[in-house]
Amino acid sequence: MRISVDAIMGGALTEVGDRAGAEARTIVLMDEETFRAFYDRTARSVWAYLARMTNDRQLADDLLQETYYKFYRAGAHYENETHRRNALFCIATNLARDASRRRRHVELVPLPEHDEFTADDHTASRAANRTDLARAMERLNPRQREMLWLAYAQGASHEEIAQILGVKAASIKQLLFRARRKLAALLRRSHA
Amino acid sequence: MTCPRESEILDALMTARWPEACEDELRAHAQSCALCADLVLVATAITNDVPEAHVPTSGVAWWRMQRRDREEAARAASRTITIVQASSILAAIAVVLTILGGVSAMSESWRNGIAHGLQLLNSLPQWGLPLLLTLALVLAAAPVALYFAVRD
Repeated sequence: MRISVDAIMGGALTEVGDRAGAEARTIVLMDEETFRAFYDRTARSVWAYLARMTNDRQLADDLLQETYYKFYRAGAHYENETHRRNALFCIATNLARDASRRRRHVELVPLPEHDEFTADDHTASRAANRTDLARAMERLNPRQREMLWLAYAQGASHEEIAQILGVKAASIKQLLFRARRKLAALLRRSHA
Repeated sequence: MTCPRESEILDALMTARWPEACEDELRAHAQSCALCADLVLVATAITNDVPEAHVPTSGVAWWRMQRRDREEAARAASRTITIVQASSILAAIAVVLTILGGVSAMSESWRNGIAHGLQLLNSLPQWGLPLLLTLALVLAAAPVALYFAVRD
């Protein structure tokens, strides 16, 4: 299911092209300074989200660029930073879903960190925990993975998750609860 | 389904205050409450799993985006040109086919005319054919003779 970014914008688009009654929409592109400031604030978290959802660093690099390009070309005006951020994550979610569909089967294995080549006890145990999490996440459906990541890695509120994933805000609490319970059970089983 | 202390624990987790910077009482609650225990387990696992991001700088990202924008614009323009060219070729083919159709209809009537003429020739008397050939020869030679006669 693709999520409509327009729905997220919620009519916050800048309508400046209204000529002679025609409902023409002129796209107002973000200027360099605004874009760069926004990118600096968000790129790392978007990349982490894409990397975890696709489980492919290389693909996450490509999708990051694509996400910002689509966001930039949308040329929308947002009410606030949260709104803008949600639209960005919505685009990232759609791209990650499309990429996963193209690859058909995404095997969730832990993403190797650059510093794991010099593995000490701490990094080894961290890597083991990440393997457990990756395997457990593999058992969840994509929406549950997205939801849990947004809630606990990004700290997104229920309303924000609802907007990003195109789910009714009222059902987020229930869905998140189920996903969390399932993941917790899987993690406990893998620890046992 | 929800615990009233969930948001408190989540806030501590998200601000990296969990568990050291939290009250003993909250930690004890997390151990005794199944919902909060799930929350701590899942949120801790996920926050520890955030991969280290190596993203391009904003300057590079902006430059790539501008380049992509130009490429897209060029692609859109070439698409328009291709459509116009294809339309022109189709129109030319249509014109040629129309002309060929017209010529074919005309040649049909010519063929009928020739057949009719041959029939007339067959119906001519014995001396008619040499007379016609002579007439044709005179008509063909007359302009040439006229040309030589009036030259200079």
